[in-house]
Amino acid sequence: MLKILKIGTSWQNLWQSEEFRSDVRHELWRNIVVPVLAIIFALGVGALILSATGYNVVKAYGALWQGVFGSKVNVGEAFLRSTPLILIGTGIALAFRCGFWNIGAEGQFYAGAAAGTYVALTFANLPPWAGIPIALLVGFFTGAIWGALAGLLKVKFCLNEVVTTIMLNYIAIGLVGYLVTGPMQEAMRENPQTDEIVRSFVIGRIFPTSRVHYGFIIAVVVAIIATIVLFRTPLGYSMRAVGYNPDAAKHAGINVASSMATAAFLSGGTAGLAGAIEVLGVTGRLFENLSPGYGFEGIAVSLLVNNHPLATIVSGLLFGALGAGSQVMQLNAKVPAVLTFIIQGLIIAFIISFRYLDKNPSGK
Amino acid sequence: MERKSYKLWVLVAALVIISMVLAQCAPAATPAPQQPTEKKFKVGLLHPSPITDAWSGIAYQALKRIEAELGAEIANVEIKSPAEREKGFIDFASQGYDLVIGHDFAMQDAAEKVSKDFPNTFFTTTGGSKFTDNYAPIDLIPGYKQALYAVGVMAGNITKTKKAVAFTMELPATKIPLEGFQAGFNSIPGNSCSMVILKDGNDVGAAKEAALQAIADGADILIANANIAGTGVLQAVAENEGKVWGIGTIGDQTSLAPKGVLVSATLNVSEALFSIAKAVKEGTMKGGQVRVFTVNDPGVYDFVYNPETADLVTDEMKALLQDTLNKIKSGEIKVE
Amino acid sequence: MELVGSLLQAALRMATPLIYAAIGETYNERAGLLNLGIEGLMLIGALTAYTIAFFYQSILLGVLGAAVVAGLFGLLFAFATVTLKANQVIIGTALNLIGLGMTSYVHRMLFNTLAGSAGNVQVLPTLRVPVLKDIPIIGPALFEQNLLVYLALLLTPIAGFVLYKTSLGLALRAVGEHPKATATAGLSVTRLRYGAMVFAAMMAGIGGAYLPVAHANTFVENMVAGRGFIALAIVVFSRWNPVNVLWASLLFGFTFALQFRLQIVNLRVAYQFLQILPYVVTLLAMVVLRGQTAQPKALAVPYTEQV
Repeated sequence: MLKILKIGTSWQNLWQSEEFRSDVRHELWRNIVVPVLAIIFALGVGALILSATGYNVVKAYGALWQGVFGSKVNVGEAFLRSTPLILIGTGIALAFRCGFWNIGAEGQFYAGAAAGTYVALTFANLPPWAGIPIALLVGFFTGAIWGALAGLLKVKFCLNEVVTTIMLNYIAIGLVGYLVTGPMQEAMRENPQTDEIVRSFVIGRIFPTSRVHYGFIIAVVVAIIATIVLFRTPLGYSMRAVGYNPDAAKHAGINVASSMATAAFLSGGTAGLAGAIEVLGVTGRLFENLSPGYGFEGIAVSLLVNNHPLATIVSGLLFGALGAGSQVMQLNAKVPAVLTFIIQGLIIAFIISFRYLDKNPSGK
Repeated sequence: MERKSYKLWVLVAALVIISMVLAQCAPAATPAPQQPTEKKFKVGLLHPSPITDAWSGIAYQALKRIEAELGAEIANVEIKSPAEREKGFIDFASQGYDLVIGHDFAMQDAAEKVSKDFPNTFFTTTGGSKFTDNYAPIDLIPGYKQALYAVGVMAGNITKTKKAVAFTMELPATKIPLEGFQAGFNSIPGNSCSMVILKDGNDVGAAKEAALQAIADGADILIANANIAGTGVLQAVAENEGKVWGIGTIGDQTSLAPKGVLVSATLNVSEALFSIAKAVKEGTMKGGQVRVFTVNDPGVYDFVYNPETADLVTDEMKALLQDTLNKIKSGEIKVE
Repeated sequence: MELVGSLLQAALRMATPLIYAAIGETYNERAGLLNLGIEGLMLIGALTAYTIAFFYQSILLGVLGAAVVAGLFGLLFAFATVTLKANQVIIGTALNLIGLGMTSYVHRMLFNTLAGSAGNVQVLPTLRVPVLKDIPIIGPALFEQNLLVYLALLLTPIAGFVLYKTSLGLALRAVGEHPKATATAGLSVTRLRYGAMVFAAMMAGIGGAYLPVAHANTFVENMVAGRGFIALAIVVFSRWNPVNVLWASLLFGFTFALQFRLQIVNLRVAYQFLQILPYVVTLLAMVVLRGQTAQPKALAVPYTEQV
């Protein structure tokens, strides 16, 4: 963050230093202005596409705005949608900061969802105060193991994690497909889904009027913890050092392999937790296509804020709101929902281009 | 210096975009929520895939028919993830829609939950076993399974190699009806029909390859009920004309293999959904039940023959199919 | 034996789009660029080829158009990653999102028909080589295919030759290993990487084009169905060697075809295990072959010219 911020310097002195002010300006530009600009540009291109294909831009974006801020239900919906994105984004931020290119959050999400569902279905008699935490923890660790697998393959066998995590995605999704048609299929044996989890395992809603549940609070807490770990602990320091320059980190006596494996483990864990929360808080069952691509959206969520775990709360909310709003936009302005994919892709592309136009490669 | 100018340029561009949008906004500043003088009948549809594909396409056709014949105001929303289902129902119901159709068995939990909060809206889903006072799922599968059983019996008498292959996906709506076909085909001694599960309902190429493998294995009757991927199977049939025959599903698929399709067993979802909408409009629709459709429901299940293959599907064969169907209707043959 | 023959024939047909995409990506990675967006590029190629073939009744024009349009997107990718030095993993992810969103959106705008059967195109005809096609086992696989399959077969040795035996290939390999030394030797890192990326994108476009005009006869949203990611795996699996790409792609194609055949003969194994088999095999093969890793040293590392 701010490079010259030292303990004991008074704020007044600081503000008088030109270096500090330029630093602040730079941070502001990088972390606030650039994301906002990228969103404006992406929406601008989206508007061009809309009007070129015969839609009323004002009506479409008006419906989008309504879909996000139009009612308490809609606002709550944005929070609900952001929950898995914040969790996955946080994990991806940890992994990317350490130079571990985890493309496998999708598979880790499924691993956690399957494990969480298994606990909820098997130990249905547990009281909520014990059952839900156990299910979430098991979800976390299953996802973490799935992530650590790719981490181990990387540090032990030097296998490129981009490829191994993609393979592990397909394997996890295939296995869930097997579970919901085989050993974990509903008692009726009709649909490819598990039975519904019992009421005591359902994560409660924060407000009675909207669907947002306590999983959102968990996501926020996880993002805060991840930030503290990353910036305030020796582990976080080594992870960042490895990501910045593995050779230098090695020379400085940091255990590169263990830092990277830990990053992979934690990253998979948050994705697994997201999966377990999605089942316990939203769907109540495990399905083969539980995720519409959260693992890939999570990458965007993390990158939008320069892989800063705390800020994934903001970007996660933005993407959650885009998703929730686009659903209403579809209903009220008849715009195909796939437009959101285009806008999301453009946001990433613009933000990255602006950031690098800035010619400041300091952040990894 | 260089950095400054780039920032300036970007900011100016952003301003231009904002002002352009605002300029467009100005005349239409207050789009007052228009209150129609009389309340219109409103029907909403939630579908799990794009309306360009077969499964969601048939529901959309039904919706269009409801618009045309019942004068309803319609809207449709594509549901991309399980998290969106409940909100989809809430959105429609809170805007005063009279009927909301969820075109997916997996939407039943959401429909059940939301129906309790919106007693003035009627809910239905294609598939499902739960119900409430204002939610009744429709189940088209039993009737389609019966219809395909009858087709299976006929195909079992036409086959020369005694082998058929059915292509489907791991979804009850697609798989269970084909189990009917399988049972009908295998009811002729010496016949064997195997089932291939395709992973992806969009992957036409993979489905075609699967069909070519079936042909290489000696099957001469192919049937697919696998969303849009199923067209790949009939494409393989078309490329092996005179050697292999196909059976159309859901709609009339003769055009995909003009000389290869023996018969298309159509499922008129449109008719079923239309009848529900009509009942809701007239106030005669009853909740608290699963509306099960069987071959006894007129107009829902039908058979479209292909004149090009009349030498194989003789009148005798058509009579056999009809006879089987009658036996199912009378309960003499049980398809379960 | 006929069984093996038909499996081989199917394997080659299913391998063809993978061969194109993976050959392109091999060159790309050899030059130091990692493109995760192959899936998106293939979709763009597929829609372009289909649209042109549908409106102008020319498959060849469609395939060329697919290469050109995908190449333009490759140019954008190169601009973002080489000139702007943006992170390649990220831009690739964005490319996938845009590819899926854009093709689905445009497809709905252009072909607002209901069922998929409405917009069929004539597929590329099968060219049968007389006599040779009757060779047992390998005959149908090698001599009873369409033009794009033959070209894919020719492409691999040519790509291998260019990469290992020409100065252009030497320059490409050098730029992925030691960009600084390459620049010192008077070659333009930027130009070589732009070239590699555009070539890779065009190949991905052709690979995608194969699906709607030479394999199936229609375009379906998201019809690439993960082949772009498999192509990425193939590049690593074949250790960045274009000739190995052929074998690796064939192995994937073969397991796909085998998987169907096993279901047809009613093998009592949960079909999901058959479907994940290719991915498990890749992982295991990567572990077994790990000692001989040949990953370009400067892969995914942006190059900054020293001033």
